[in-house]
Amino acid sequence: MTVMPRKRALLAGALSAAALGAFAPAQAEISKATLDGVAAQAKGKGPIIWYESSPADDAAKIAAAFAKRFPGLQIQHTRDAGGAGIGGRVIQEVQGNARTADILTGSASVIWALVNRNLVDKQDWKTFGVPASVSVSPFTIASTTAVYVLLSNRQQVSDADAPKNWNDLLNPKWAGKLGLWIRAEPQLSLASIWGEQKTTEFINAINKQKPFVFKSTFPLAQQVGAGEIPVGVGLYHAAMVPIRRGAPIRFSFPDPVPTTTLHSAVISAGKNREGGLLLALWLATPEGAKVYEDATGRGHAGVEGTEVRKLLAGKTQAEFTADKVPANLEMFERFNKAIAAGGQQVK
Amino acid sequence: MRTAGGWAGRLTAAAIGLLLVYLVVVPLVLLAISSVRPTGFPLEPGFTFSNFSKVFLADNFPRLVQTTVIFALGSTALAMVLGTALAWLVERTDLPGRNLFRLLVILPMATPPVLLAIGWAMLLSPRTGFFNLILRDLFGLDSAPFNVYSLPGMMFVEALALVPTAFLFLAPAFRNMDPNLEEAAMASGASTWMMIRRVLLPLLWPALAACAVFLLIVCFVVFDIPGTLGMPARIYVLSTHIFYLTADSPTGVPLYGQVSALGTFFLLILVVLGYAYYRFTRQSQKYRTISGKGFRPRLAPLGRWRWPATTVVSIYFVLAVFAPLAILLWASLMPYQTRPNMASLSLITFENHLDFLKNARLITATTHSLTVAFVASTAVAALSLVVSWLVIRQKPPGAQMIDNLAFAPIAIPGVMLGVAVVYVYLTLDKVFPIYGTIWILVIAYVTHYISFGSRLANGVMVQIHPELEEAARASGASNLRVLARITAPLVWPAVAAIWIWVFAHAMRELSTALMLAGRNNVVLPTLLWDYWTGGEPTRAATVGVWLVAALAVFLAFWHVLSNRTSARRA
Repeated sequence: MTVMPRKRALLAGALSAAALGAFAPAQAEISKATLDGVAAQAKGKGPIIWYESSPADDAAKIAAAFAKRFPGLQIQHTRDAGGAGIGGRVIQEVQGNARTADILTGSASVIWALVNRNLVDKQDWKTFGVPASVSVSPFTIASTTAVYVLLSNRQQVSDADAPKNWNDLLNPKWAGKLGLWIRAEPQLSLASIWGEQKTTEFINAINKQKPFVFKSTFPLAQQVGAGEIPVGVGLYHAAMVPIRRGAPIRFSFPDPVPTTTLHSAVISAGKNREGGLLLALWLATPEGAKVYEDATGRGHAGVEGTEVRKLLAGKTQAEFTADKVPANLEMFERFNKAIAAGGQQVK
Repeated sequence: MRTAGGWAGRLTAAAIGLLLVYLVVVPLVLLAISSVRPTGFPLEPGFTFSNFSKVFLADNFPRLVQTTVIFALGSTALAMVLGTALAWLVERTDLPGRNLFRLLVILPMATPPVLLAIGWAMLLSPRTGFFNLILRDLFGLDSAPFNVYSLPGMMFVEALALVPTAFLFLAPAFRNMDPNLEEAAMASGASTWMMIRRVLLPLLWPALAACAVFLLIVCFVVFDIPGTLGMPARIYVLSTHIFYLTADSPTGVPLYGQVSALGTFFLLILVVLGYAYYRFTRQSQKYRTISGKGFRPRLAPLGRWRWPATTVVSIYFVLAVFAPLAILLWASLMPYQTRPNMASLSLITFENHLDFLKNARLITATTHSLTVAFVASTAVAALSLVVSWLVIRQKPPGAQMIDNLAFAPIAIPGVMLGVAVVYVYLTLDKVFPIYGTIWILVIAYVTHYISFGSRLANGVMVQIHPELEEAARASGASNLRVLARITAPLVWPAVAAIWIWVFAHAMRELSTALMLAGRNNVVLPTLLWDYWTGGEPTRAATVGVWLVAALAVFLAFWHVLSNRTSARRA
């Protein structure tokens, strides 16, 4: 669903008054003036309701920094770490005519379910100076990047034995000692380079190792740290939580490095869509990306200066772009079922 | 015996019936609509049976059912054995320290099942489990003797979690049993075994059957422990499959249609078990033991079995209460999750506890949790008493339907109940603006727990002979006055048990709370979940430790209060 023409005209007028240069189509950065212009539109429309998956304490840090940057604007964060649940919540609230999110940050598959129901505002990101690299779809803007790494327990696995690449996970010595996330997000991203057949063969080979599967990569990383699962495939930012507290976890970047970009979408039924748009834009700026990365440990690979961008420099990154997600949902479902079924033949 | 009740009884029945229809039928209708919607969202258009075919014709469905049945039967059997033995020892024998045991048996209820599972994972996981490591070192074993990430492991932990429920079901029944019947049997030359078989078991049959059926159904829908211990090892039961379809759906939105189709399967199980339940308790008059003739429960002397029994009960409490709590306490003192050993002692820190105490969200979450638990438990206890009184005593037209309605919510998985309640109150937002507040939690919990309350109240109500109430009525008392002055005081232990059980469960309920979580209704379990899923099990353990400590204080206070009340009455 697109922004109504009249509203867009009003918004554009206000923005041009604040910063004419912000609409320059060739401009590839979101200027302060653009943000301030959108902020002026967002004021007086109530708090900005943000549905996202970060722990509440982390989100509170982001909200505090946002309020300091944009006085008079408040974020109200609602967490849903379940992945699919966050999209379902928006659908339910819209159908019930209740107050729903102004902005949702989640995986492309979640956002696409909303786009298919006409629940997401279509944006002309160029007019806001958003770099094309982070806005491949008119419905989404990249907000942060989840990076998958190979984890191992430093006390139980020697440096020499620690898995460094994908095939190392197939070594029989890791049978029954390997941890995976139940969602096939890293496998889906690998398929962007390997293709479906090779990825399916890899999933089946991994399944023969009888891996433990976890609902989230956070407890997976904890179990690697505790030594219950000596090796695993986890998320960098999830592993950093116990690592910062001293847990004996080592990580390495495989080749290719699968990533999952989390996108933000402005919800059409939101009461403060301008506020949602402002937050989405701000998270794609170096300032907003740094605040988010400092608070959550999850950085934005598409923004200069972030830690995750430095970490990924020179590495082969594997991921489908957001606009390719709808075409790959069935493959994603097949991968998910294969992991959940432990390698059995599933329909 | 008056069966149809007066106008007051009929009016009460109508009011209760309408309330239950509102609480129970509306969510069930939404469940049914959801199951035939192509997207699973009840308010979206379309009609299909494909959700049923996707669920029931899936290759993994027979194995899913088989695993669920084994899990449910095994957990129920073990919980019944332990719960019955404990209830008998504590209520009907001279077991030393039985008052303390009566208090302690409730304590595991204060532990959120997720934390109990985490605790047992730390104790019995194959590579780092505390008990496994000790046994390996002690006996020089090559591999761990126990693996908690297995079906027996899941059943063991689930049974431990259910023992307090079994105890609360059975303890009032043991307490209310007239010892004259046992004495008469013994005086007639019956052996102890014959007395148990011919007198005790038949007397306890309604409570045992009600308890077993209740636990069995709980085991069919429970998520926390199978989710924590089974899913990592790919051991799926129906509830974890529902969670998978809800939270990890590959399509980007929950597959509510398939979840609802599975919900109908739960309802089918309920109908079968409910029928069995009514068959068991059909001739309930046989089991009435509280009559107008006064009695004091007699305590059976254990004799030379006194101390062995105490030892066995103590071992149970060490396993069920102290070991998991001790490991959680240990985890709360660690900067990251690590097994207890001498090397880790240097890591001990109070950072988690200090952080917990100064966290502003904690105060809000605690206030919310206490309010929700208090209101929900009071409402369920009162509603259960009235429902039971109507169904067992008054028997007005529609009594059977009221009983069925009160029992039905147990078949609705917490996740699905949450979804249905959200729809109800989103639709009624203009009239009842409770979406996103703590009051939507209260409504959901009352709906969810009324099944437990009404079963427990029924089990006790059938044991009470109506002659006391008939005597009061003959003296001119109205039906409601009889309920308030005669029936309620007699079933008071059961009402108190319902209140405590619901309070403790509402304090720890997670799956429904997560589905109903909004911006203004954070509660302690969702805070705990926040820490756990956020990669901070040590902070999650800290919340658990404080939660258990608070409930222990509450139970101790309750115990003292009960003793004073009893003393005053005496």
